[in-house]
Amino acid sequence: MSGNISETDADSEFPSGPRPGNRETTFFDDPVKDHLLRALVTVTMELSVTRDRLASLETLLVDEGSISIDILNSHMPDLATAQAREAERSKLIQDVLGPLVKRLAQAD
Amino acid sequence: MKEKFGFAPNTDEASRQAFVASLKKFVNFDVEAQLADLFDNQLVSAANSPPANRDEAAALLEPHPLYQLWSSLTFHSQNLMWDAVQTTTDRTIEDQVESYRALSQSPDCKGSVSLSDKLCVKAPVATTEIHRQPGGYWREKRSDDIEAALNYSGTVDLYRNAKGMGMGAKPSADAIGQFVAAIARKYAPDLEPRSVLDMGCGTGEQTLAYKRAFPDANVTGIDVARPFIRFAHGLAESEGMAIDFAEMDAGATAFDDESFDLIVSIIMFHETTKAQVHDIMRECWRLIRPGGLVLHLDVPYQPDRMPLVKQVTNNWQVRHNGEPFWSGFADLDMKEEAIKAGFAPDSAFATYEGQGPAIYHFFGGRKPS
Ligand SMILES: C[S@@+](CC[C@H](N)C(=O)[O-])C[C@H]1O[C@@H](n2cnc3c(N)ncnc32)[C@H](O)[C@@H]1O
Repeated sequence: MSGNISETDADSEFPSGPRPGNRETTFFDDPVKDHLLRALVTVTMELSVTRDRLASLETLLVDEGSISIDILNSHMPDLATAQAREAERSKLIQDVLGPLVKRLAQAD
Repeated sequence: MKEKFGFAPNTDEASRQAFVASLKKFVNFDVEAQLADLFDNQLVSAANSPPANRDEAAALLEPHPLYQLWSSLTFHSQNLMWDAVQTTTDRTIEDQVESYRALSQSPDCKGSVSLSDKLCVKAPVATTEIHRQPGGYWREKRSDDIEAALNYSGTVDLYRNAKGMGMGAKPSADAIGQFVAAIARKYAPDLEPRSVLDMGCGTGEQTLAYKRAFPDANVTGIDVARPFIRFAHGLAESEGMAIDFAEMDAGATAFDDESFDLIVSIIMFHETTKAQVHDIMRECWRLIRPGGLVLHLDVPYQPDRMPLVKQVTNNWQVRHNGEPFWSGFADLDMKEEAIKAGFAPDSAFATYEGQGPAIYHFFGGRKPS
C-alpha cells in the first residue's frame, strides 16, 4: 500500500510530534530520573500481575484441589473479584507513586 | 475456527492491561488534580502577571518537576499500553487471521467488504502513529492482515477503565454507537433512516449499534485503514449482522448524491486536518438525502470549556502523543463548518451531550425535506 500514501497533502504541516517508533522521550532535567521512574512502574506492574496470578491460583486450588496450566492461563475473575483486584491495584500504585506526587506538589 | 473473533488476552495479559488502565487512571485523575491545584494555588500567584493563554500557562508549568513527572508517566503509560496489547496480538494473530478468512469466505456472509487499491491515505493517518500506536492504523504485515485493528481494539476497554468508566457492570461494547443513535432520535424524532453511513468506522464495534438501532436500514461503514475495515467486517459477520464495509476516504467517497438518511461518525474528525474537515462536511452535504440528519461525535475539548491547565495537558497530546490535530480540531467552530458546507444556519448545530460521566461534542445539520 505504500505507493498510495500522500505525504504532500497541503495540510500535512503539523506541529512537530513524536517520530514514529520513538519510545524514549524524557521530561526531567536529568533523563536518569525518567528511566528510574519507568523502571519502578514496570516493577510495580509485574508485582501486580504476580499478585493477580497468585490469587487466581489460590482460588482455583481451593475450589478444585488441583488445576491445569490451561485453566490457570485462561482464568478470568468474576465482576466482584475484578473490582476487589482493581482496588488493590489502585492502592499499590498509590503506595508506590503517591508519596512522590505529594512531595512534588508541595511548595519548597 | 479455533478462537472467538476479536481481542482475547490470557490471565497475565489481562492483568497487565488492567494495571496499565489503573496507572492511566491514577495519572489522569490523581496527578492531574494535584497539578491543577499546584497551578491555581502556587504557580499563578507566584507569577509576575497571571497567564493569559495556553502558551503562558505552559511556560509556568513546564519547568516544574510535578509537570515533568506527569509527562514522564503519561508517556510511559502509553508505551506500556501498546506493549501490553501487542503481547496478546502476537500470541493470537495467526488464529485471528484464520478466523477472519473463514468468516469472510463463508457462504453465510450477510454483509460485505470492499477494498480499494486506488485509495490515497492522507496525513495524519498516513504519516503519524496516531496516539503512538506502533506502525499506525493502516500498515499491513501479512495478507488479510488485521493486526493494527486487533491492537487498537485491545485498547478500547483499557481506555474506558482508565477514564473510570469500566469496572462497574460492564457497558456494552457498542455503548457509544447506541448513544449516537439515541441522540439521532432526539434531534430528528420523525426520521426512520433506511440507509446509514458510519464514517471512520474503525474496528466497527460502534457500527453494529446502528444496525441494532435501525434493523431495517442498510448500514455501511467506511474507513481509510484497511486492517480496520477487514476487522469490522469479520466482527459484523461473527455477530451475524448484515453490514457493508468499504475502504474509502470520508472526504471523497464513491457514493451517489443523496444516498443516506443518517450519516454519523465517532471521534474521527480530530484525527483529520482542517482541509479534510472541509472536504468531509461538504461530502456529508452531498450524500445526505432531503430530510436526513448528519450527526458527528468528537472530543469536547474546545478551549472555552477548559481551564488553562487542562488546555496545556491537552496540547501536550499534540507534541508527545501523536495527536497532531487535537488542538487544531478543538479550535474550530464546527457549526460554522457545517454552514460552510451547505447546511442552513437554523439547521446546523454544535452541541454537547452527556452519557454517564462522559460529555461529547456533537455537530452536523439536517437537509430540508
Ligand atoms: C479514533 S478512530 C475511531 C473509530 C470508530 N469510529 C470507533 O469509535 O471505534 C478514528 C478512525 O477514523 C479513521 N479516519 C481518519 N481519517 C479518515 C478519513 N479521511 N476517512 C475515513 N476514515 C478516516 C481512522 O482510520 C480511524 O479508524
